[in-house]
Amino acid sequence: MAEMINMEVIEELRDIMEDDFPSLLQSFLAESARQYEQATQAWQTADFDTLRRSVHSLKGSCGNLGATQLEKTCAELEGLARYHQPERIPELLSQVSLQLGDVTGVIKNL
Amino acid sequence: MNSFSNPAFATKVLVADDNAVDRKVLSAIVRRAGYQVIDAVDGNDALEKYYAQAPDLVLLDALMPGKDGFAVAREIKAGSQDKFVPIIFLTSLTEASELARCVEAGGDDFLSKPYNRVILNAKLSALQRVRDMHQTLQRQRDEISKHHMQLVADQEAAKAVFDNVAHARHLDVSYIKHLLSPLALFNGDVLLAAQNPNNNVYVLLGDFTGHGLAAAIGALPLSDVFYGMTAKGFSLPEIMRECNRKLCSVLPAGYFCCAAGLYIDFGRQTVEFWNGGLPSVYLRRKQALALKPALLPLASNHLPLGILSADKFSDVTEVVEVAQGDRLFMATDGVIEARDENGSYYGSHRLESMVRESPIDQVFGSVKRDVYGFMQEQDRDDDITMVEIEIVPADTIQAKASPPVEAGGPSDWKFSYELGCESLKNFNPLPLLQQVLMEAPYLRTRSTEIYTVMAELYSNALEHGVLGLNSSMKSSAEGFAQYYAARAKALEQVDGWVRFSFSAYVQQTRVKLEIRVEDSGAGFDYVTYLQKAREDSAQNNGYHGRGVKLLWDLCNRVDYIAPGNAVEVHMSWENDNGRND
Repeated sequence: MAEMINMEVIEELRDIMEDDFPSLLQSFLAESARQYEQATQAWQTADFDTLRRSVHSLKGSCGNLGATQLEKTCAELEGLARYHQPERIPELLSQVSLQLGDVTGVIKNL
Repeated sequence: MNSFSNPAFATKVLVADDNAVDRKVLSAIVRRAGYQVIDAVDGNDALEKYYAQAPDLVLLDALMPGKDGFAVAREIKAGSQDKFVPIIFLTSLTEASELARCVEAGGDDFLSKPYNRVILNAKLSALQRVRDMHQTLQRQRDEISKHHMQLVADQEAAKAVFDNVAHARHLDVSYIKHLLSPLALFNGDVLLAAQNPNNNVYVLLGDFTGHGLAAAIGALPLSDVFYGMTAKGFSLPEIMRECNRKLCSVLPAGYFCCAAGLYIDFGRQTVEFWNGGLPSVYLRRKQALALKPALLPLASNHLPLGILSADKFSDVTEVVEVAQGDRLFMATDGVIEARDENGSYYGSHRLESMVRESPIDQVFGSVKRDVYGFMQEQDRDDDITMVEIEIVPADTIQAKASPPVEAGGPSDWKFSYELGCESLKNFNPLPLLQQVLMEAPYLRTRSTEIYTVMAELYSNALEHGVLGLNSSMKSSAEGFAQYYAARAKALEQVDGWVRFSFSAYVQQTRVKLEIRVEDSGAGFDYVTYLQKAREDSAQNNGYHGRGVKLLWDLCNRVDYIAPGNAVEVHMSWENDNGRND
């Protein structure tokens, strides 16, 4: 089981971003919420393309923030969207929702 | 190169990503590495900032709303023909076909998400090195092209100067035919022709070692010496000696000039020649006679110019008699060394028989056709230069236009000038005297006549007066050669002097010039001589003898003074050109 957030990545980011570190976190919180929102709406209209782009984008952010588990879930979801395989999409979307909640919790407490 | 301290010189990196988190992280890493970062939030923003801020490197997210990364990359690459702007695609795409799209669009590298500082830094600096190299290459290419254009322009200018100096001047006359075919822009061959004040013609054909600029450069000093000295009336040996001295002093070691010099006296119908290293000059006679074969090769008997120091140089010339209609043919070794498709040489035998067998008025054209026919389309190994001079009647040689008469100079004056025996051996006083006389502007319009009279008087005083040679020897071909041999021998042991006295003034509008030439000889029976000359003149007989007929033609008075070792002539004419002031 991949960890929720890789703290080594977080510490490195803190070093690189210096004063911009809090604003990076704010961006993540805003962007990830928006991307999740976009993804669920796309799913409701069966817009696989937008669904794919949303989770792809969320996947990138998660990777850069060390949210390894969420990144993996997004990658899996992106694959399903790309090949139009709807069966497990609701399940994975709810996993994303849960994991995003956890990640958000951790980040807010940093 | 990547310096924090001087952001003005920092490399500018455009980071284009619609994902704010990714963009912020990437920008931070790039900035941290010392680059100046330009952020762009989508494709259109990226292009706008690209044009406005001209970044040196572009990091481009592949999937962006609006214009995606592929479109942006294509547009950037299409607009930067000369400038190399590396593009790195930011992608988590892993499909080979998607990566191929990136390359197709002009991507130079990939960077996968999540970003890794170490890898990113390595890629950035690698691409920057490529970019620097590309710029250096570009700059060098531009410089080379600029230098090349400059070189061509310089060469064209130099060639114009060169052609003006080294060729052209006196070659454009009906009795000289010539062919100069340059192997390169310049030609290692040089062909010079000029008249002296006496309207006789000098021709010099030279072939410098090598080709092109290095070979051509020596032609400039050579031409300078040649034209300067011919105009002043120096003799062929003096000119060859000075050409050799000049080339010795300017040519680098190992460079020299094979050359042949001719002095053609159309009046006396003689050709004096000096040949150092050039193929034989051919005298093709219109009429072969006993002791005068149809073809006489004037072979090289000296080393080329520019090799021997002045004290070792030999300026000994030979003189042959020619007749009206005879042709002199000269060529550089490019003709003999011309090759056919099998690599065989044209050779001197073939050249010689062409010159001997062709109809007399087609020698030049026949040789030219034959050589070109022989070579077919083969590359020319050497410069091919050939020249033919026809012996024409003296009066067809046009006098050079007199230079405009300037104000100033002496108006009435006298001087005398005496040469002792050492000077008689090896010094020609005529150019010097001519130069002194021409200081008087009113004499300049008659420079040819004055030089002719002076030359005639001097050669009589020296050869007949001082050396005691008998002019009747010159009336046969055999005697002619003997005469010149006897002259050279007598000169070695000469003991005597020749004195010139000049007096010139303008009386009202008439110019008066009196020349008296006196020698140390015993004199001669001038009364009988003049008697005979008058008879010959009436019957229009030969030219030889003391040339008094020539003097009568050019002077108002010719007086021999007893016992015959002095002659005084008076020349007089209307001061036609007047003064320009």
